[in-house]
Amino acid sequence: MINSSLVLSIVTFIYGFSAVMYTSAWIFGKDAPARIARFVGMVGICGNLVGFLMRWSESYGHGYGHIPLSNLYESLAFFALTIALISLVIELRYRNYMISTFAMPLAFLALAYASLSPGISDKIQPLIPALKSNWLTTHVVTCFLGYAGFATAFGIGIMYLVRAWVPTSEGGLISRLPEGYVLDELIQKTVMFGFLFLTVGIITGAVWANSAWGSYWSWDPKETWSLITWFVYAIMLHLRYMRGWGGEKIAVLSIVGFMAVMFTYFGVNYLPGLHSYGSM
Amino acid sequence: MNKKQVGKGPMGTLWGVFSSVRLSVIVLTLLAVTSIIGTVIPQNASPLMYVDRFGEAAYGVLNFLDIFDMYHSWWFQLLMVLLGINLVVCSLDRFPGMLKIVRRRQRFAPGRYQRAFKGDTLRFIGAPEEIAHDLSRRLRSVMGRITLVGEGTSWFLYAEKGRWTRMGVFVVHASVILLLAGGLLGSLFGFEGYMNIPEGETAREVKLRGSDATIPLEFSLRCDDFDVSFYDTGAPNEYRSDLVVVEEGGEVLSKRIVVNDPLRYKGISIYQSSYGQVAPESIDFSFTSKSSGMNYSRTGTMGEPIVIPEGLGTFTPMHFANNYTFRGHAVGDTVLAVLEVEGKAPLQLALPIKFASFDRMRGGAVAVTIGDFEHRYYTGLQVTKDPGVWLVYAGFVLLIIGCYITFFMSHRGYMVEVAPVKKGATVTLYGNANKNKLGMEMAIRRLTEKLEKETRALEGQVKR
Ligand code: HEM
Repeated sequence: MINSSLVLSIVTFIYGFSAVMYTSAWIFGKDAPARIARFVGMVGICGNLVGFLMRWSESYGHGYGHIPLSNLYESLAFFALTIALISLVIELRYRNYMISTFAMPLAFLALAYASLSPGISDKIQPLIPALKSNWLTTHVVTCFLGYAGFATAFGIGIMYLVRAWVPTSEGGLISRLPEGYVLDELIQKTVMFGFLFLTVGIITGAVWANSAWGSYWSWDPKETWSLITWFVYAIMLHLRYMRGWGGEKIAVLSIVGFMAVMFTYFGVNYLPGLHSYGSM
Repeated sequence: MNKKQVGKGPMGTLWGVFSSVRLSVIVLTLLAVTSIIGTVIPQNASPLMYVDRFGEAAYGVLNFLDIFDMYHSWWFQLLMVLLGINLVVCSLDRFPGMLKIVRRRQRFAPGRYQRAFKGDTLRFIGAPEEIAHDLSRRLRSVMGRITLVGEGTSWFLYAEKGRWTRMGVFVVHASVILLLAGGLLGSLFGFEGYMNIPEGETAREVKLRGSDATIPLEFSLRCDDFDVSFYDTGAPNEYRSDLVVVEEGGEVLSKRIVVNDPLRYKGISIYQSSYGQVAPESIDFSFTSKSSGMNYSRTGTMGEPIVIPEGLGTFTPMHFANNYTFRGHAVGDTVLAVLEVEGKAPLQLALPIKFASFDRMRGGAVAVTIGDFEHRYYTGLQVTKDPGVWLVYAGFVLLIIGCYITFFMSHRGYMVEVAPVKKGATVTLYGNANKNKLGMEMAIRRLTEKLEKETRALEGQVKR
């Protein structure tokens, strides 16, 4: 029977195929595989969206309809969608497929982890009382747009370091990466995008918490880690603008920041707290 | 960073320290790093648990440093105050300079665009002056108000957009100051507590969290009904309470609250947060003798001993516990009791309501089961007062607006050079931006392409 879990499993392979094509475009220095990769990536995005919508309508079939953003499986599927979408938008805007070469594997990994990890249940579960709020959608969507921005910055940061640290040969792999200054600026742009959405995400979470249990901030581990992540990127913006940091240092910070994002997302599950993505 | 301050004595030095971005980077880093502690070490747990985990000596040291309630410790609060002072001083320090920049009129000098991004040079046919006027009409929608300046035989078009966006950073920082101020106000003049009200009863005392103190509300609160519903899966679906605000004998307001939909009255917010079974006045117990197989029913009240026939001992129900944990298992509501038999040590009994034959497993001479009792819920309400919340919300709004301005808008300057050549003029676009230089580059490139296409189309018409 075709259901959303099956669709999302198939999308996993589509993203994987797209990532492979992007990589081969890079390795062989040809445009044709990149065009295929872009098309396949778009098919993947459509499939991912279809899977999301199917799951939404399936939850109504269970009698407790809600937007599929309520557990780890659902959030990973949505995360993959946002990463793929953002990297493709940047690729089209900056006319350079290298961005997706480093970001599409992340979309693949997110979805593969959701679909294949035995610890993650893809069962549709009813919403517990605390999650029944109009803020659920805004909060989760903005947080994940933020995470996706930081994920893309992470990919570009890696690209920057590869470019800076691996010796370049004329016409070689490394020389096909975008120019350093382009990467540098793209890190900045994607971090700003991520920072804005993380800010909105934290704020909507706080407003929600205030409407659900009467305090907008209670230092629960997930809240605290999102704040730590926010501080890391705020520090990065200041170092760049006021102390003139750029290049490798900023690339390294984009990676450190993403580690904090990943901890906010997954690591916190191993700490006690309120947020429900912890329960797999 | 501000050279004027150097050599102004201690006050100047202090000002210099507090207006530096280095300090803010240090404070933000300290906040980020120390925040981790509280996510790894559980906060506000019982001292026993900490001693158990860390040992007596380490407990003493950690407790001295307020590690077990670190987000409210003096040193963490000090870091936040430092951040606030840093922000205020830094903003005051930079605001006048920024104002000057924002007020300054644009200077019309080609030299200012020497390092700007430069588009490809286009060739137009016609008189330079006409071309310049034509361009200033066509580009107005993109570049804003255009000033045309003739210099020698060349014409220059100048335009500028978004100068005010340089103020976005102040909006961001002001919003953080609002957040800190709102938080401070809330912790000074607000409170957080809870009250448990049995169905049908009225209460006005709030127990404060983290202390044994209670405070009375200005009004009383009656709970008419509490209900919990479940999904088929057994997961809770909704908790709801029907509450009535009673003031000076009259009913002022009634509302059915659920999680995510609180009652607010006179600056106090009342949230659905938990529930439980009210300890019943009396409970029917049944005692089964192992040797005779006889059943004896008795009605008992807490603290009143019941003598069981056949000399099986004296049974005293002691306490009705909500959500009792028996050897690490949550067994739900439970009656705790003591069984005393002559010549033996008193025995603690746990009798979970949900598991009727629980006490049989003990394998004693008598097994106790719980029969009927009056079921009544109490609703658990979180009660808070936070006068700072509106400052915080204002901060939230400003923070989003400020971030949007700082990140996605920039101060852009444009110059178009129209230089005469044979039978026409060359046209070159220049663009400058205080940030997002790559975006400016793309914009100039696109604009140049667009101009070229439009012009070719026009010239095509003219030729025909
Ligand atoms: C949590 C606190 C803070 C946040 C969220 C924050 C946020 C920001 C943001 C978003 C920017 C803009 C960067 C850009 O242009 O992309 C910025 C710039 C700046 N921040 Fe902060 N900031 C904070 C604390 C501070 C503090 C304490 C200082 C005190 C020295 C400070 C000084 C500055 C300065 C001088 C700039 C540059 C302004 C300019 O471009 O002229 N910030 N900050």
